[in-house]
Amino acid sequence: MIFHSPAYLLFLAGVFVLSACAGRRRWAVLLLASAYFYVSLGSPHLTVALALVTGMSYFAGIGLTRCATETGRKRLFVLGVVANLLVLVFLKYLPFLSNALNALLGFVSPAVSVPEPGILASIGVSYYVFQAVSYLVDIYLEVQEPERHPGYFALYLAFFPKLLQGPIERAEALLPQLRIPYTFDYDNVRAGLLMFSIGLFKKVVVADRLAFVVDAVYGDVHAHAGIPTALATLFYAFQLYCDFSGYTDMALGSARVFNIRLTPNFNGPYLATSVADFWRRWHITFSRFILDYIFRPLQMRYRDHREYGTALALLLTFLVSGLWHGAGWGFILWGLLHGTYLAASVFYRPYRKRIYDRLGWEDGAGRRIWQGTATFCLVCFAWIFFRANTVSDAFYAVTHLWDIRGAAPFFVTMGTKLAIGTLLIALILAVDVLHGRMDLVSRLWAMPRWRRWAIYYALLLSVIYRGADVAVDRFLYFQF
Amino acid sequence: MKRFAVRFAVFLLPLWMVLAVYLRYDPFEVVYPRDRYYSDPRIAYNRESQSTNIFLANHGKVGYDSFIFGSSRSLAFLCRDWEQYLDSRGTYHFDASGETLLGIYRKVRFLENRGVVFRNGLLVLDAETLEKTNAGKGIVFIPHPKVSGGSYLDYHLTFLRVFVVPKFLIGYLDYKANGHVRPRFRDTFDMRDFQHDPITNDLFFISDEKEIREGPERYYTRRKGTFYKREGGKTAPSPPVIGETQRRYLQEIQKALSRSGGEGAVVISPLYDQKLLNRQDLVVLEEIFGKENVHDFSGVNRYTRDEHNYYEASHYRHAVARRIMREIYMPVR
Repeated sequence: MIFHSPAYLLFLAGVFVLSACAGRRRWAVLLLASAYFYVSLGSPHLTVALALVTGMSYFAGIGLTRCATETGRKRLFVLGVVANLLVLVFLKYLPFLSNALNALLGFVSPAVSVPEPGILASIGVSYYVFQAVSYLVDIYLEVQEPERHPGYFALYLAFFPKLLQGPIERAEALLPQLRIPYTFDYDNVRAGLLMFSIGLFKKVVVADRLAFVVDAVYGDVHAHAGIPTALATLFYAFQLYCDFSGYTDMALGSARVFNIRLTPNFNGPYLATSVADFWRRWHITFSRFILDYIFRPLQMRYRDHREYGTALALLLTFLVSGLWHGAGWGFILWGLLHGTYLAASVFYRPYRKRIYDRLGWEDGAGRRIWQGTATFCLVCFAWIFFRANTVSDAFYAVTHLWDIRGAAPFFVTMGTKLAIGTLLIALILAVDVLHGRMDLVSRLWAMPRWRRWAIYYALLLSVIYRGADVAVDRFLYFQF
Repeated sequence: MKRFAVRFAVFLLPLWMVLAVYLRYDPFEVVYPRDRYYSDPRIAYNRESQSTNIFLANHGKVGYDSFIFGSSRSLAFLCRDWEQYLDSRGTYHFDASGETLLGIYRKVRFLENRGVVFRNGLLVLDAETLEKTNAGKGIVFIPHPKVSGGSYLDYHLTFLRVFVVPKFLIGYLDYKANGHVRPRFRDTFDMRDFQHDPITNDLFFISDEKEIREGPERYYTRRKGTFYKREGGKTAPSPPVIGETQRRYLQEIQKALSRSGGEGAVVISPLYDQKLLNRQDLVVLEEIFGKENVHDFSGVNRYTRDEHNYYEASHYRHAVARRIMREIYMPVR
């Protein structure tokens, strides 16, 4: 059941009514609904994996507070984290690892190989495993008490709005909200439905429409080069943003109708003025996770090497980020690129102000536009490796970016799609810019009802009409 | 909560009204079962939906045992022409727009599950139909859930979504009010006239045939742009399209047709593009259905050379199908 399907809307409405009537047992209704939601994906092993991670983490969390010795605590903590990560590795990376191992064994002895497992779906596994790991880390560090109610804990991991693509919620943020008895809140329901509609618009109207151009170019990179590839990459940057942030808006909106506030995952990422700033605005909960649980420990470990230690910690952190996104060399290269950008900035940052001062370039709109444009170009360059079907396709695209031959037929066939896509991108950017300067939602609530309802109808009808002919029907971040 | 529920209901009032109109008229004939389908000649119906519903309405009375399968190109073959070569209780045209091999396989399974005992099957195929194994989207191509096992909700919402598109909605309401389609809405509706046989489910294109009969040169001159120039013998054959999935579907179709002693014939359509079906694909079809049951009319031949055998560059005429049937069947009676 995907968010932008009529079945999900009916499901959400049904769960809302049932949970509103359930009183203190609301957690049971939401947990059963979440289980049903996951089971509806049609992959039984996923439900088994979720149950396994939930059980292991629940008992490990309680066990950590009962361990008599520090050694015992540490062993249980490591066991809990490793067990959770093994589930993730098994479901997500086994096919890739066996292929890589067979490639290596091929050099040694072509006759020797490991059996290749079939590809198992791993939708949602990354997100709740990371949540479980952060939960155990917080208990180990004694910043969080273990949740003793198994129902609340299970719901913390399995809550259906965030089950498939996050956000990755910290226990301290989500668990207390699950305990609060439900009372109908008009503002939360209204805000939730608005957020959901905006997310639906971003996904169905913007992301799926941009996909036509992106898929046409990246589906056959060798037939396109130069400007078409550059435009397709630009479109992909916004397709991915609208697809993922659209999903997140729908997740946040769904949770909000239940009076549960999930953590926002995006904050105008393409307005970032540096790559570090980009990662404070893109997939925020994931960035915080890798910052807190991978980067900081590594930085501490390598602190004796000062900037070089920090740079190495950043490279390794983003290598892990690339690996998390997918079992493929394209994702690894993408992660390494971002790690390189950030590592370079460690050395470059102290000189940046001096360079701007030398150039007489004060901190103003002009400098911010330059920084934003440069950051966007760096991010888009890395997206080429993220999106290309193979690494060789990515290198072809990169080495032919300045090739202007064959651009004219592309504009002839894609002219209308490019124009509409450009307008949609401009709309998204404009909203992000405005949202950074004012509270757009409060302004909306302050409008007269007829104007508000006109905006709601514009959103609703654009989704209905766009949904009538869209061919693309998947969330990109489902695969991670 | 009451205040919210009331406001939400009021907010959705325009949509409730549109839904009420949709349910009242059921323009695409998918909501309610009915005695007579194809009631409105201006609506472009979903052919599979109509074919499935008409079959379900009639099978108990007629007891169909012989079926024509294929895409809209199979419409050239009329059951009433086919019957004369068969020993059959009832013939039925069970086609779909943009039909796929998966669609034919599902239809055969659907029919078996409803107790059909196959006597004869006529599969009207081409490279495009053989290659496709995924159902199309949109109101013209979406498969009927009874055949595909798909979601009824998605199926009905597909039609409802098209109904609420302003151009269609306003055009439809205007048409219902005036009794005819005004020029500005002509590209929203089907302006051709056809005759539908409510028992065999054949569609006979009256307006096209009448226009050709009354003035063939005028008909083909007006459509000169659609009849593109062909390269004749220089046209490259189609690449092979039958893979493992297609082979499995074809085998299952043949098994179902022959399970109760029935016979299947395969006709590869004489398409205007004159592309010869790949010989590898032909060999696979002959292996599965038997060489004597596979009849290849693709490529350059007496049918495809003459553009007067076509309505446009995609569909050939009933007369062509009659000649093909005469050629492949010995009269039984």
